[in-house]
Amino acid sequence: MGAGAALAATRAGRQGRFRILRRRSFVGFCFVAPALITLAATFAYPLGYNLWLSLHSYNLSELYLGIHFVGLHNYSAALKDPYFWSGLRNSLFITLTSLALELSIGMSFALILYRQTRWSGTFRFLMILPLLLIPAVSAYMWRFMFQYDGVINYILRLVHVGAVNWAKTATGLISVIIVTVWGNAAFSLIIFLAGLQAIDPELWAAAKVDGAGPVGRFLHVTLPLMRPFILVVLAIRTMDLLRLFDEGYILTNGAPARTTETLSQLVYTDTFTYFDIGRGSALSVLEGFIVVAAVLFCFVTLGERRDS
Amino acid sequence: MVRPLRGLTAAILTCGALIVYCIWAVFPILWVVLTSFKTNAEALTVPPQLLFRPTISNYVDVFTSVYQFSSVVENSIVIAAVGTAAIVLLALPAAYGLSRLIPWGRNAVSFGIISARTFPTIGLAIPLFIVMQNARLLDTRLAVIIANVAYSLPFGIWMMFGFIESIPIELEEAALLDGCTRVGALARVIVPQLLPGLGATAILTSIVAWREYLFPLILTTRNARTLPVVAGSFITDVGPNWGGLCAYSVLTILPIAIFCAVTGKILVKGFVAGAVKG
Repeated sequence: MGAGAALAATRAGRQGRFRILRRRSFVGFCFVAPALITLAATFAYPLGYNLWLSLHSYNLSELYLGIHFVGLHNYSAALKDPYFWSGLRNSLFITLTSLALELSIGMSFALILYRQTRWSGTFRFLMILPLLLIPAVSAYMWRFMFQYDGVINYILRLVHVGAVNWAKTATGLISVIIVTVWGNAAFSLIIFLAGLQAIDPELWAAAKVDGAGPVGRFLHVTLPLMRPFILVVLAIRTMDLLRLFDEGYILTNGAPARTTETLSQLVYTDTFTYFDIGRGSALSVLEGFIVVAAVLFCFVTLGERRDS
Repeated sequence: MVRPLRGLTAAILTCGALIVYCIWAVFPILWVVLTSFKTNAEALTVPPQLLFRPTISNYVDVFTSVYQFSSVVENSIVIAAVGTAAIVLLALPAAYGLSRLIPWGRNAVSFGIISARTFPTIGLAIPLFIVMQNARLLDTRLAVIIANVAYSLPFGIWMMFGFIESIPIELEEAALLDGCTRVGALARVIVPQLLPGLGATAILTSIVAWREYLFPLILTTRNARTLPVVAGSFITDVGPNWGGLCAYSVLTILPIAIFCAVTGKILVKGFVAGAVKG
């Protein structure tokens, strides 16, 4: 692969470049300033404000009580809240199950489509189709199909599984997973397909000459070379799944009795149903920490050591 | 090759898997298209009817009833377009500066994209809701545009940064030696080279805005609602209007299908390049 050489060349180029342009940092800052100011106003300030809110008692339905500083009370209350733990459990369950399904589906079909030549364009287009829809709209579509008299239960009756009540806790979570995997498996597929196309086929040929079987070639040639692509998909999807909102909110809305709420839905309910801004902010900060921890975990376990 | 499944059985197996997966991917869409031509009473009959008298009343409904389809489409388009224009205009110089002029630019971009992407959207939506309420901007397009820009600008910079890094520095140095200014070099050397990357970034950020549900859900109530949010108004207190919802879904799928058929290649390329670089 030429990537290593190219990278080395880039690095050498960068060093040389910055020796010439060392004094240009101020000019560079001028280029960056508009974006930086925008981000400070629309991103950093709201986030700081969110932290401030999380340390205060602030309820929109009890505004006569005013806004008081309560320290970490919102956080300790959130950690004692059984809904927080059930929300965390649901989010983890949805994330882990969907990740496993999406990545394995993406990888299997990337391997198949990479081999296929004649129809793979058509197949790829059909497979990518769900990824292109608006997630909220496809969640509503599925909600229609998940009705007790809907087409999914009809098919399940046809194959003698029997109708399923999708409004229970376990089935509700499964329905969210089904819709998420349906909508997003193609993301892994696209990235993995690009990854496979970047691999030099001669590597497989060489491994074959060395006597590696198909499984051995997959484990020792394909997987290591695909690691950056797997890491990217894993990190992006972990973030998206841990803060999943649309599908859960539309399909179950937490029903029955807030038992299927994800972390983001929990924040939404506390903030915009109970108008407890302080509590909602604290929960969203906790959710942020959970997502950061999960992504760091992905990078530490799978990431390569950067030498620069 | 990866798995040398040889012979007829192997071919049948892979082909079968492909066909099964395609049915699973496409069936819900086909079912919704079919249902969109049924009356609401027929939508959930058991067993589902495949033969029925098609009606376009659902589509007429979507356009003429309280759903104000055309104004909702206008909201979605304006919000996506203005937000994307703002992001491209801000991200282009920023990515250029970070790539060419600031030595620690690469680290700043990596750190920025990771911290921006990991923070939960809802954690941004709560303070923005309060800010917009105080500024009396709730239920305006501007509120949603601001939220989208806040959320997508780091992504835009990150993508653009990746594309600028792939342009050889020599071209620009030649321009500078020939007496071009920095801005001139950016406009005359970088931008023409960057057009595919610029296009990919614009397409992806407008798709993100087009799909966004949480921000418009929280920041709009009536006048500035976008397509994903209005889908919910088919489920009313007096019962769901499934036929209408299906017609509405088809109408939101159509422009995306056309858009992707036109921009498909750039889209996939930009998608992959954006995801893998940086």
